[in-house]
Amino acid sequence: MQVRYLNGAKLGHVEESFVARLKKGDSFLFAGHQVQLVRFRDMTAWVRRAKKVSTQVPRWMGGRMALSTELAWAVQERLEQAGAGKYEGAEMQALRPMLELQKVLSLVPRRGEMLVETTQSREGHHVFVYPFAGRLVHEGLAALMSHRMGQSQAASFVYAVNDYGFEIVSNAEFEIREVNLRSWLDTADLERDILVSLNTGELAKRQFREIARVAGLTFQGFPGDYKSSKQMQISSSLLYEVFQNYDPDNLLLQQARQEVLDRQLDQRRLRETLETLAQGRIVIKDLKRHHRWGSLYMWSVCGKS
Amino acid sequence: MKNWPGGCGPWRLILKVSGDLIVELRGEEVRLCPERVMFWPREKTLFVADLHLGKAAALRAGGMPLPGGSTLHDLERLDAVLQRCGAERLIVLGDAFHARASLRAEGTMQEILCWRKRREQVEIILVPGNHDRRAGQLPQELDFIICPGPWRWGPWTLQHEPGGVSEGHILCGHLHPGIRLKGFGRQSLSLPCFYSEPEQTVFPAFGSLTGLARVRPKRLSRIFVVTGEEVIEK
Repeated sequence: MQVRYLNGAKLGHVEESFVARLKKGDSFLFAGHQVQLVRFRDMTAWVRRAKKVSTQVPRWMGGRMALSTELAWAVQERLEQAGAGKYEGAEMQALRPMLELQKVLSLVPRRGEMLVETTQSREGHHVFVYPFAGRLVHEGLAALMSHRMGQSQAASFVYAVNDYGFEIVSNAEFEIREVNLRSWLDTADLERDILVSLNTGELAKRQFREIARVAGLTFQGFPGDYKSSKQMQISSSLLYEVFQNYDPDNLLLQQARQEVLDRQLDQRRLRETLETLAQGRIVIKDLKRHHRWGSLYMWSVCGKS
Repeated sequence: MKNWPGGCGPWRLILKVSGDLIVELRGEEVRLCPERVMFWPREKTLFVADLHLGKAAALRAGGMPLPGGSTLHDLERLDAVLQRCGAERLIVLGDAFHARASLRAEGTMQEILCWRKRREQVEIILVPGNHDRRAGQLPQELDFIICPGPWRWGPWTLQHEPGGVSEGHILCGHLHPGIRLKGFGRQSLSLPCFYSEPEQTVFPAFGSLTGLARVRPKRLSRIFVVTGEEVIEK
């Protein structure tokens, strides 16, 4: 998303997720200037110079760039050292209080250990799983696991992923025991379950958004030009439904499914990850009696390290 | 069911009959139907807004390779609800057609005319909306009566865009109101709704190729959410 001054000068780009959190009049630091959001239209955030100083700075979440296996491995190693009380370097020192709190409230997982935390909140029943396998694989794992959980008991699921693990929130309580977890993360019937979770989930729909844009279906306007004809606009989720209802064999839909299968639900990588997990230990921490932010600490630690 | 503060609002007596919500509005009994329409039994009149017929065709004409079928599907839905309510009159509160290209698209127009022929005994009145104005002259065979809004009829004022002051209760569309319902376990669902304020009721968009504009409940507003099968008050 572009950031421009009201006089038209372009400042640069920020991520949509950042601007989405801002309200009109909120100021943030961008491109070395204190700016204030005036309005937000046609994928452009219009700003003016702000008088008040704000500490808000846009942050790139790394978009869709996933952690490589090597990096995931390195992070795990750092965590293992931290688990043993060794904090090397300024970054680890900075994280020390958080990791130590994590150790008290839950656990800092060692190599070959997969930490599973459960907790409850007003929002629902949460399960946090930390396989350290990268964002894409986690997305696949979360889709697969929530599908399999749904098989054993009807419920609705929402999941969130980051590079270190994933979280599944459901409206029903599940018994999180090692036996159950192992059966949800089993390689048996993997192929069948992948296809089913692909069709029921939102994965393909989300992937379709990008495809629709590349295919020119959701027109973003010519660079530097204002978006024209309002009657030519349609959202990608509506498009997805149109294709699904009236042209289910459409090549663009197939492309979306294929991309999900190749990326999030890459069978080979999923299978490898599941096999590694099957060999490792699973440690389950029920945070119900603890401070329930425990697992959220881990979550934010993950986002930063 | 909650009432307007002081019980002075226009909506009273809420009853539910197999998905429909029967309410008394300005002294008239009307039904809010899950097909995103309102039926007025006394005049056997069906009110609907934002059909956006031929939207896919218009987008196709603009170079987007969309599949056909959505307009036909909408016509079938409309037909079914006309039949179910036994309506003799249909009032479209604007945006019957999406764009000029919708009228030029032969296949789509054929479907629409064919449907019109089958239902020729139904009187169709169009209160033109912004899209209709751009679409231009409608073909004679369609047999639509054009009544520019705001048009006073009985207790109602019929117009496309919300707002304005009138003695009648304003029935309008244009906004495509929708509401997000949230549930336990971070469930959330966006659904079309009738958005009603003391002086006006905004209809949900009928066309299936239409998006939603999220509305926020205000102090004096009432929201009737349309799920696939029923109408419920939020």
